[in-house]
Amino acid sequence: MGVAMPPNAMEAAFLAQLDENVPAREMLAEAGLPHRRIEEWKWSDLRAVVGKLPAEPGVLTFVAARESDTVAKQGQESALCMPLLASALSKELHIYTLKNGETLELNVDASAGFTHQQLLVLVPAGIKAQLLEHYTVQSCAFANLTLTIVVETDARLDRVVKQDAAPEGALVLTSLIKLAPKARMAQTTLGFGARLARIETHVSHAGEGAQIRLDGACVVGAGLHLDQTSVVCHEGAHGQTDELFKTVVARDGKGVFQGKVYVSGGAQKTDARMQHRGLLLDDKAEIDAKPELEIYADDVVCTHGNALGAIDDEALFYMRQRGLPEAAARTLLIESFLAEPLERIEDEKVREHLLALLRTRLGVVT
Amino acid sequence: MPAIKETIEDVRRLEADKYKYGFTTEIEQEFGPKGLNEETIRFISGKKNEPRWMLDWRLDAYRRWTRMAEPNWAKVDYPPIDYQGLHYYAAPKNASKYKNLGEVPQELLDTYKKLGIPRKEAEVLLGLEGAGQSAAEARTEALSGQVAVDAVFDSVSVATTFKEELAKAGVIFMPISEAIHEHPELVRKYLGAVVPVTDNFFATLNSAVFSDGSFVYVPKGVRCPMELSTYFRINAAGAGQFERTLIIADEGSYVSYLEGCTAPMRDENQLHAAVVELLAFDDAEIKYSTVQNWWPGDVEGKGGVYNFVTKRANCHGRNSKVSWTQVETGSAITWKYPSCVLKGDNSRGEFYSIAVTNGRQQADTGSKMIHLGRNTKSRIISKGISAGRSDQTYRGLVSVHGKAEGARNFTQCDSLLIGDTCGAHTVPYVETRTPKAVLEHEASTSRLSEEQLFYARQRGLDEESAVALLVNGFCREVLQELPMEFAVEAQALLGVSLEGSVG
Amino acid sequence: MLVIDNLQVCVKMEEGKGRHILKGVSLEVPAGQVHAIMGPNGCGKSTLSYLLSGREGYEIIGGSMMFEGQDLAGMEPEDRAAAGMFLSFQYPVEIPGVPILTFVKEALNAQRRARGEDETSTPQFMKLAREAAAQLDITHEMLKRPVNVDFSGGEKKRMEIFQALMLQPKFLILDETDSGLDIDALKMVAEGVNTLRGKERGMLVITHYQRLLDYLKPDVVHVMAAGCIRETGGPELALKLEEAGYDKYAGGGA
Ligand SMILES: Nc1ncnc2c1ncn2[C@@H]1O[C@H](COP(=O)(O)OP(=O)(O)O)[C@@H](O)[C@H]1O
Ligand SMILES: [Mg+2]
Repeated sequence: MGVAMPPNAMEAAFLAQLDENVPAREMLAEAGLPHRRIEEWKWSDLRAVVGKLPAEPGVLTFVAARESDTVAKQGQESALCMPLLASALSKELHIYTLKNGETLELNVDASAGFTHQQLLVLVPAGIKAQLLEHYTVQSCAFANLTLTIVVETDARLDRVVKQDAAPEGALVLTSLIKLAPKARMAQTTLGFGARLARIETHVSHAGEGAQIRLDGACVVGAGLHLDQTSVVCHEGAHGQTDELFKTVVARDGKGVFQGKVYVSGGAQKTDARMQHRGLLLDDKAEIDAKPELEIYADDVVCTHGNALGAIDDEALFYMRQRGLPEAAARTLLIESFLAEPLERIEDEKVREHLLALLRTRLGVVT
Repeated sequence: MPAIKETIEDVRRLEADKYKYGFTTEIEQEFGPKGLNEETIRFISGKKNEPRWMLDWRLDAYRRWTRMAEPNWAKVDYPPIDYQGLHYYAAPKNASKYKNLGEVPQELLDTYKKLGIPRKEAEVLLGLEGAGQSAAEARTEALSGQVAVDAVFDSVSVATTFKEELAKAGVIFMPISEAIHEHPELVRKYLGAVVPVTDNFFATLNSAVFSDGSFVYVPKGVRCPMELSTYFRINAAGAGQFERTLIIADEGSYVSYLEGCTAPMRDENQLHAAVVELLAFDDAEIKYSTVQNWWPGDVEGKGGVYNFVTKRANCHGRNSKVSWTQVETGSAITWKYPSCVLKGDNSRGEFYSIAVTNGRQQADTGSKMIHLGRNTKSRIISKGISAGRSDQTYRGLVSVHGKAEGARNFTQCDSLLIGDTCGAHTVPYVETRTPKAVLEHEASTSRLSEEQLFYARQRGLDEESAVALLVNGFCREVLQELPMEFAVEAQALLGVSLEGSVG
Repeated sequence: MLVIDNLQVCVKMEEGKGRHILKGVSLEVPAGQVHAIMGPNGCGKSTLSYLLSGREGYEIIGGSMMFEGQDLAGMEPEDRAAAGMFLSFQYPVEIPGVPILTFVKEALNAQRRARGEDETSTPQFMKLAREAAAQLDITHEMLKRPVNVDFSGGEKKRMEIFQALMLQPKFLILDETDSGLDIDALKMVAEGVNTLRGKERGMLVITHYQRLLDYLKPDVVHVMAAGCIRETGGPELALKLEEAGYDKYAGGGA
């Protein structure tokens, strides 16, 4: 609405790199980077945060277990601002086609300055594969990454995303996931936040009878901000979505959960459930949540729940009565609270790794 | 054909004539000038002989409004409103000046009859001389029992019943236009105190042009001896209705207020932008119930009331309590979020809502609970039923501020879909800034169950009754919150609104 | 009273496919008699009870079912109920928010209106309800709850018989009303059913166990397997089945 704001340094740097007439340029010139007056970003003011970061190009280091299968020129159009910028401002698109039984590890490290990158991961029909991602963002870095994932018919993908705490950096990781008929996918995120980190996942149940489990565990410490946003869109009938997100916020950290489930008129027999639970540990902690349903089909089961609060005093007392020191009891409670989504990871090695990581990091944060 | 399919088909065929309040009253109307400018405001203010401060207040609101933009975030879709094509004042000629029954136009009496207001009470409503004495009599005849009624007919309040009896208890209940003259100190102090002039586009518009509405003041320690009630009715064509209600419950007092709304069937859309302000001091309680049945438009979405309403309560005092209960079946477009600002420690806010949309209706409605004080509690129970080609959104906000230790909220939003051409949406916003609060939210969406329908029919209920029974069951938690007389009316209304869900 | 003649039924499935379930069922229950149907799981007993009461989702591909000379096929469920057909469901459905007494009163009066009878007054209704409840050991508190919500399996079955006592139907179908009941509850339920026994009434009792039949003393016992009545006999047939099981009938029907 209204008058365009003058671009900040970061926006100006992006505009300088963009050709005339490309959609990304128009969008950026008109609306700027996402900010709190944009409904979808009302609790995560990206524009304000990255406006203060150095507006010069940085370096993105990819350490992958193997080379990508293809490198293509960008061609992806998106209605979403950040993917649109990622495709317009990155040089090339890496494409991975997963093989049956493959576990692909991707370690991404962003140095100071801004970086944009786009990836495409294809999971061919009938196969089973794993994708393990790990993101590190250095001080003064702003990384904007977009992953497009296509899971073909009857294929199965297990995805785990780890995001390290980045007190002086910003990260926007957007995943655009398309599920073909009977495709199955499970995604688990373990995130620790940044000056501003947003892990945004869009899932389209494009075909019939697809399934997704979408989980996340977030631990947000002092001065950090982590935003878990998801939009799951049911277009095909008989789709299933099961979401479980947990957020723990300490000190003056801020956790954001936005989860939307959209069920179109044709998506009868959809079964979609979404749960978000948040724990606030300290007086200055903040959690904002918006679990959303938009439903146009009548023969569906759709539910969501959201519960926010502090550690259960009674449980704490019970444990102390049995002899646990308060601090230990507290940690145990927080740990088991966050472990629930991680426990749902099927691969035992990966699951144990994430649980161990959670345990070591929790001590630092809380 | 499966029962549900049939239901759906029938709902689609829903005819306009099911709306029994859709009559117009053929009486001579006096209109204000068309369009909105300072002259219009001066005209309205002049009509009511308002003091200078009131005119200035309106003009200030008007000037601010001209710089505001209509909000567009709600999930409703309607053609642009031509604010210059509307009348902002309409009144039955010579209203409230009748000397005896013979002078009252028969049409107006008929209107009240159709609205279900008994004749005796209507006489009182119309302000007939001598009718005051018959108030007690009227009361015993009134179906609704001990209820004092204020009726707002287009822009003016026609009369208020039982004024004297209430006065004995010290309760002030009168049209706000009179209160401006009789209790200027109260009106001046509290008007706009809960919903500030610039709160939002529609509230600011209302502040500029509001015509009438109810004013209630319940003094310290007084339990209002009867339910207070207002009937709102839009009658005149091409006129907007902008009523303004202000209820103040002083320390330790209690009042229950009921509001009912109807409008005639018209092809063009009617605009209704009301503001309701509630203020509860220490230990006071206000119960505010609404049955909103404005004309929803016909099956194709032609006509109907645009209902843009700002309702807010300030639970200002310790242990104060406000509860909003609403049954919303009418209006083409609804934009309404009754709210509570829980300022006093231990204060409580409640919101119980049933919303039914059918035909082409669109409703974006819900509640806001703002927790500022310690140990504040809130509860939101919302039941939405969508049928036909309608679209319904629950939109709510629960916000807990850093100092609101011990705050608690429980929210439950259930949607029921009848057919696959309607939509049901839930958009709750939850914000908390203290670890010492507990907030819970649950939502579900389901449809009328074939199993349950069959079970009820196996026991002998026909489909119409079975559907009505199931819908009433779905809404039970909310219906229980309504005052007795209203609950019966509301249940009947649910039936009528979903009529056509029956063979 | 009830005459079922060579009834053949398909259950409608998704995408227009059908599955043949009842493959020619014939039986006749004269007024005043109690017939039992026994048979292995999945043989079509519940399907028959749903068919008689008018549930959707089935296609009759042959045969007929007549109730007091009226063809049931094509009648709405509520019209069959008003004509006196009562089904005690194998799995009674929960209806949140609708108090049981409100429900039964509405149902009773709807049936009475359909039959051209006067409605029952509230005091009269309450008197009946208290008596029926006492007979089945149903507490006042239980009567205040919504239909079947938060009741145990056995309590639900008792509530079904409570409704039968209130509605006084001409014909009762009990679909495994005994499963999930302990000995005391079974006795209570059976006594409730027995008070309904009379010259004018017929009953079709679907069960797996002799226990219930010990109390109800059926006139005729049918054995159903794979969608057909395979044997019909007196009460002794039930005893024989209890010993030998359904093995004899395994391996397909007609
Ligand atoms: N809606 C349905 N769709 C497919 N099969 C069904 C359906 N309803 C019943 N059946 C099948 O019909 C058979 C008979 O079921 P039922 O009448 O419930 O048996 P029972 O004798 O145990 O009561 C079973 O094999 C069951 O699986
Ligand atoms: Mg069965």
